[in-house]
Amino acid sequence: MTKVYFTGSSIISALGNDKQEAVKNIETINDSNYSEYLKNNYEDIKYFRIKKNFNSHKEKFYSILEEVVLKAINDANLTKEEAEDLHIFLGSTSMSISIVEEQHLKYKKDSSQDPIKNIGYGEIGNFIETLINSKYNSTIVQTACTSSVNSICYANDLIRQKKIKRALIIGFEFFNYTTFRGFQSLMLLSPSGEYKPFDINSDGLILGEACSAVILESQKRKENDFEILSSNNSFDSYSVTSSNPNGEITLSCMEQALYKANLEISDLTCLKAHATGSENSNLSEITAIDKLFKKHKQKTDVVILKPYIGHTLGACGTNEIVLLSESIKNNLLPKTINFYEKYNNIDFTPLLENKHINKATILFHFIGFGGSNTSIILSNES
Amino acid sequence: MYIKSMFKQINENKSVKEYKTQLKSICKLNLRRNSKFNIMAIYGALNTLKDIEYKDNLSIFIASEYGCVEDLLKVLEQINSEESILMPFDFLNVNTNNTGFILSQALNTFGNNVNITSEDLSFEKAFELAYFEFKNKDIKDILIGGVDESVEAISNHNDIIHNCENAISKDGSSWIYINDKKDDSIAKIKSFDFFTNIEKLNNYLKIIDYKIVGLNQFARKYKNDLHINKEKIFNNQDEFNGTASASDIIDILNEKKDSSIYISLDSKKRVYLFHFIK
Repeated sequence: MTKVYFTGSSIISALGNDKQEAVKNIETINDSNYSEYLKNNYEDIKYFRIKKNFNSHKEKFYSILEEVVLKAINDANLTKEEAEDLHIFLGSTSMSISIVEEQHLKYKKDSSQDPIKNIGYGEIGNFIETLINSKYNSTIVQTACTSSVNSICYANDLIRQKKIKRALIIGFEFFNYTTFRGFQSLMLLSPSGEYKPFDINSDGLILGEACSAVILESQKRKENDFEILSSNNSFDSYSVTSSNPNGEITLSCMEQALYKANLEISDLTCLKAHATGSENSNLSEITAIDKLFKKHKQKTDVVILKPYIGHTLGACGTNEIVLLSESIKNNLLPKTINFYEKYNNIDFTPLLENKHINKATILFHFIGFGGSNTSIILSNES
Repeated sequence: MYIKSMFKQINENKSVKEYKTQLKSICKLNLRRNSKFNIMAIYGALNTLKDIEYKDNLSIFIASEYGCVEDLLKVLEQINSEESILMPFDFLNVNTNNTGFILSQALNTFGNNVNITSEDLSFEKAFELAYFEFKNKDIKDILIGGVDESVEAISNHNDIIHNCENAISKDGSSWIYINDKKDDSIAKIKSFDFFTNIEKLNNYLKIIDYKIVGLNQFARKYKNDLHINKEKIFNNQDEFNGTASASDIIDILNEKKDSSIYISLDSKKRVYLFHFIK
């Protein structure tokens, strides 16, 4: 069976404009300076912003996409011919709504005659295809917060079965009022602005914007490239916006991923939880992880990343995979920040101190609106 | 891989109210605040599967070129108006990915669902993923739909979409149910292929036989480049809707020919070829 490796990556997020800066900041941020970090992120609203200035949402959208894609291709050291052979997968929740909102506002203010200048999301794929002169038409996946990780899963399957040679997967989420006010209307945003998923006193989530890209190939390019060992998807029919509190679907999704990789929990270095911070989602996932550890009588470290960059929705798959795998490559398994008190009757607490390791086997779990659950296991251990 | 059931509904731009009235008789779910897109999708899916004993792990692939048009326009008005606030259901409706959840509830299934877009080839791209999963995984019950609302309400729509023949944009909800059982099948999917250019397609066309050939809008535009028997071209019955190839394929299969093909091109002349046999 063909193996699949992450041979290149890039990210722009609240943590910085490249992955080196992001990893450096992850190492530097701690509980004592976290409120200062948040203050630097929050402007008029509680939101984790990319620190780059642009003249318009449209310019921001396409400039960042371009930068992230070209950096990932460069990171993988692809030739021009190899880049043209990339199959493109895009995952996002809000897609290009920031540009659509901007155009509509111009129309409302009588500075444009057109209420809308783009409909559907095909043109985002078209932009990337033209940028890299790809031979193939893009696949745009929408499964809410699992969009970009599911894009990775599809690309992984296709490479594994030798249907395609290599793939570029892009996760993107940019600030827009529809998403921000939508989450506000669902009362899912943290009023306190203290992002602490899995803490019993968590009062909601904080959104963030970020864009990342990964290259998948069947051959390693660097010794410490991460390999995809397995992936699994499950559907939770409980509610469109929340998970079943019994956590059973999340539990079985993680168990299936372990089974497919032929691994035990004790083989894992850590479990990267989705950990959004919203009440129902917290309870369901904490219950699932606690059941997993108790059922198998084994534990592993639980890692939470959203307090560093916010909840980046459909892009969180590629974003959190890039952040964690790059941290590991830089000898860092990052601590959970801003966690103080665990739920009652739950036996685990997230990892609270940095560990210094550069090899790891990681179970990533992601959950999306509409009941989508995805687990994927990556490893750079021999 | 056999097509066991199919259903299509193509209308000129109708209101969500009309679609809800139509759906009420076959669906007991409370869909009061759901989008026109969701209602159209559920109506099409339920009708496709009404006489089918499908498995509860049915996989659902939803293709759309434009997503929720009517609700997007509504949300934009709310966002860019000081007097208006965004309501939860309106927000959820513009996230097309809630469609799979609602469909699973309506069909009482727990298999995976996904929304797929790919400029001018969204149905083909969804079909490509479904075809791959069927061939390479233990996924043998698949429902694939192409759903698009009319974009007539957007005054400049022909400037922002590809509508090669300047046709009236319509509402469309077209669905195909596939499984691995030959009994009572409408057609067998003999092959499904992608070509990076027309030349590669033309080479392949030399070795296959067909009684009828369907073309999407770009294939019609570039039909003189295609090495096909022009007398076998099927005249598409419906005018334009976003994922028109889904409804075209249903029309072709209704012709009940021994062998039929459907050619889809995009603006860059990349090609998908469907080949169906009895």
